[in-house]
Parts: sequence; structure tokens; C-alpha cells
Amino acid sequence: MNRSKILYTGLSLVGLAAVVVVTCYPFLLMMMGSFKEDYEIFSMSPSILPRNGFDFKMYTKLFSEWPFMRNMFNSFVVTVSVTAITCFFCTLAGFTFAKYEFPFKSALFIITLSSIMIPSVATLVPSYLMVRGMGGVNQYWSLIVPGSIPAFGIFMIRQFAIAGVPDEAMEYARVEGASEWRILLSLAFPMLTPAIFSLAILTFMNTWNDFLWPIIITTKKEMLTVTALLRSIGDASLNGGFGSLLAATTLSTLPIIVLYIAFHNKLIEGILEGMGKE
Amino acid sequence: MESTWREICKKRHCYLWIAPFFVIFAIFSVYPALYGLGISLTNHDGFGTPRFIGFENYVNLFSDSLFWKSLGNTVVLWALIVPARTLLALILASVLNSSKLLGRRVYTIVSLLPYVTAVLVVANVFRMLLATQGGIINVLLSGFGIGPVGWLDTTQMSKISVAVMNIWRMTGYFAIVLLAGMQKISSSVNEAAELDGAGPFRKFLGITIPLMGPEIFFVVLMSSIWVLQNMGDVMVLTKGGPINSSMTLVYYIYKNAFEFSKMGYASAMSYVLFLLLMIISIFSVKGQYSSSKEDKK
Repeated sequence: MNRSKILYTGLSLVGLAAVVVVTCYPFLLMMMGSFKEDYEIFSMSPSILPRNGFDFKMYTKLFSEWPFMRNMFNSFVVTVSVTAITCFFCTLAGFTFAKYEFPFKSALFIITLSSIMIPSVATLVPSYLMVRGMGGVNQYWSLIVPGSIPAFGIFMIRQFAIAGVPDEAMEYARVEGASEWRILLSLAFPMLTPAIFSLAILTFMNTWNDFLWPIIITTKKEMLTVTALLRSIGDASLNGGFGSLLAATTLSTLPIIVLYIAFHNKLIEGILEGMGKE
Repeated sequence: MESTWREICKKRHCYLWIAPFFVIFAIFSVYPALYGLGISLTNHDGFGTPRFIGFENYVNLFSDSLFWKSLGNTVVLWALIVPARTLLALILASVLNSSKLLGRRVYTIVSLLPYVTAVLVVANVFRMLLATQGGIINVLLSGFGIGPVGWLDTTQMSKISVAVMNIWRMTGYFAIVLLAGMQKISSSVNEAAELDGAGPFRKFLGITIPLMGPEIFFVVLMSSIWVLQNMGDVMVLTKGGPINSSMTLVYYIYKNAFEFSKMGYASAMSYVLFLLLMIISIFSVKGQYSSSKEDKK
């Protein structure tokens, strides 16, 4: 061990400890804050644990002032639908681009990839006017359909399918008299399960956390997703009641944290294949 | 010609299977992109019948001082965020890449925790941390006799606060992306360097950074696109204030469209942003889908 190595090891351990503290402390304060009154949250001599014990008053306040459970339900409906639609149709398209030769394939694939380059903020205003014209304000379908089947999901499945579904297996199935639909359903889907699962986790997370489109296309707070509702609660908290805002952020982020801790490997795979989004 | 047609008929299931994507893409991306161009040439206010006004919206942009200010703020935020975040991500990635690190999994999970949390959750929590009165940062600083600093309510600090929060949120994500690249650098290169007596710092500067060139390039481009499109941070943390000191381009578009009902004007601005993003995107998509997939020697 030379000196620079010891220095490096020491510094990296201190650095990692700092990363853990700086990352986790805000989450801890958020959860603890949901049991505190405002004067305790913004106290000049703060304590981590709530002084008056774990009192669920802020949660009761949240449920009485906002249709919070309805918003949680909306988020589940929207997120599960988007995830199911995305996984099914991205698999269809990704598998096709990976395993079949057909006229205009490369042109169609280039169009698919180029769609990643159209930033959603650039089409926000016309999309809103169009969907409003279609009667989409305060509707579930308008929260679900526009964000479904992103090109990065197709790309992700395609990358996996090139080697993940062997040509020999498909040939063998054809010799046995299987139709292309049979191959898709009984061969491709089972073999692509790991990639589909990664895509599902990533889509679930992205959809749950999305807020901009729900805020724009929803005017009734009963139809907002829970993440989008956080903006309204945040605005209202300017007049006091920061504790119930923290109760809302804690509850709304709980499903994601549980999912993330359970399936972090899958999520990281998904990020590296599809590169995620902010 | 006829044989192509026959081939298309034979492979019709292929077209059927990719069709759903193209339907959604056409309706919710291509059509709005064209429709937006049309709206940007009108005085659309969201309700009445829009009137064609030619390029007036685009011309007005040049004399709109708030547009230039938002553009300037966006550039400043880019400069505050991207270099610092990329450097921190590189350092974190190379520490996570050390061969004898205990608890690598735990550190990886923790690093990505801010990324998986919704922006609106993070921004609301940071409103608490950065509060002038009784925010934990100012409480800590008061221990050193500093403060109270108006993180969110002074024009000097608002952009810095937005940048700090963004760096907190996204560094872990970029570290994981860079880590994947680092793991492709074969261990023999590192071993050879060690035999030559190179220490960890020399290896970082002399091997990791140069060999990571394409990944770093990609991360910088990707970061730039995301910073230009960023809105969640500002929307809740500072609301673009105080006195528009943290107003970004995207948030200004949003406000024009959905708070001031100037749909035409907002669309024109969207198109300017769109062109800006396209230029960067072309480079980054090229980078991501061709060069970064090649393995390193």
C-alpha cells in the first residue's frame, strides 16, 4: 500500500459516507416532518424525531382537505394501463424490428428512432389544444394514451430480442407448423420476459412520476394523478400546513420506493438499455 | 414493383405489429408538431377563433425582454449544473467501480434514490430544506455564524438553489450510466498501469477519463437536453422567481400558454426551443445508438 492508495481509499470512504447522508437525510426529514406541526418543521433547534410522538394528525388533515385517495387510485389506474399497453405494443414492435425482414424496414426503424428526438415540451401546446378538442379534458384515456408506446421501449426490446430469441428456435417452430402469431405469443413473449420486466418497471416509475401533462389536461382535482396533485398541495401549503404536504409527498412516493428497492437491478438494466428520461 | 407488393402482403403481420406505435406517434407527436407550427402563426388565445398574423409572434420574441431573460437564465443554469454534475458523476462512478468496495449494492441503491423520486416530491422537500427561516441548511449555517441566506427568495441565490437541487437529483443517475461504461474498460489496462506504478489518482486522470471520452460526451449532450427542457424543479421550488430570476425558457412557455392564454405566442417559442433541442438531439441520438454500443478494447 503506497500513500496515494491509502489517501484514495480514505477519501472515497468519506465521500461515500457523505453521499449516503446527503441523499438519505432529506427523505428522513420528509417522513419525520409529516408528523410535525409547522413551527416544529421550521424550528431553529430542530430534532429529528417529532417531539409529540408519531401523531397522524397531518394525515387526517390531508385526507379531509384533498381527495387524496381518489388521486392515488387515479395514479394506479393510469400507471398500470400505460405500463400494460407500453409493454405489449413495444414488445410487438421491438420483436418485429429485431427478427423480421420486410420492405421499408430500415426506413421505418429510422422514423421510430427519430421520434425520440421530438421533445415533448415542444408539442405541449398543440397537443393540449388537440386533446381538448377531442373531449379529453378530465378523462382517463387522455392521461393514458398519449404517453404510451415510447420509441425507447421498442429500442430496448429490440436490443434484447436480437440475441434473446434465437433464429433456430423460430425456424424450428415454423417447421412444426406454428403460425407467426403462435411464435409471437408462445415463443417470443416468454423469451423476452426479462426485458419486458425491465421496461415495465421503468415505465411504471416514469408514468407515476410524470406531472406536466396531467396538470395541463386535468381541471378537476378529483381527476389529477397523485404526483400532479402535489403541486396544488404545495401551493396551498404557503398558508400553513406544511406537515400535510409532507404527508402527501411521503405517501405518494412510497409505492415507487418499495418498487425500486425490490427491483433495483431490473430498473438499472432498463436505464442502461433505454437510457430513461428525466 | 410487383414483387415488393407481394413481399409486403406476405409480411403483413410485421406491419400490423409495428402499426400501433406509428398510430400513436402520428396522432400525438407528428400532428401536434405540424399543428403547433400553424398555431404559432396565429393569435390563438385558447378560446376564440384564431386569426392569422404571419410571423408576428416570432418578431415579437426579439423585443420580449422576459424571453431573453429566460433564455439567459437557462444558459446560466446549464453552466451551473452540467459541468459540476458530470464531474461529480464521474468521481462517484469511479469510486463505485473500485474492485474491493464493500457494500457496493447499497451505495448503488442509495445513489439512484433521488432519481426515482418524482421531481415534485423532491422540489417540495427542498422548499423545506432551503427555507430562509428554520430550513435545515440555514440552521446548520447559523452554527458557523452565517446567515440566514435567502436561498429561494433572493435573486442572487435562486438559480444556485435550483442548480443544487438538480445536481442532488441527477448525479446518481449519470454516475450509473458512466459506471456501465467504465466496466467495459478491461481490467488488463488497469493492471498494466498498476505494474508501471500508477496510483489511483493517476489511473483516474490517465486512463478512465480519456477512455471514457464517448460516454462523457454522451452524458454532457443528454444533460444539456434535459436542462433545456427542465421545468419541474423551477415550477415548484421557486416558481421562476423572485422577480423572474429563475424563470427558464420552458417555464416561460408554460406560463404563456396556460396562465396568460397566449397559445400562439407560446407555440412560436416552443418552435425556437424545438430547433435548439433538435440540433443537440441529432448529435446525442447518433452518439447513443451507434458509438456507445461498441465495446472497448
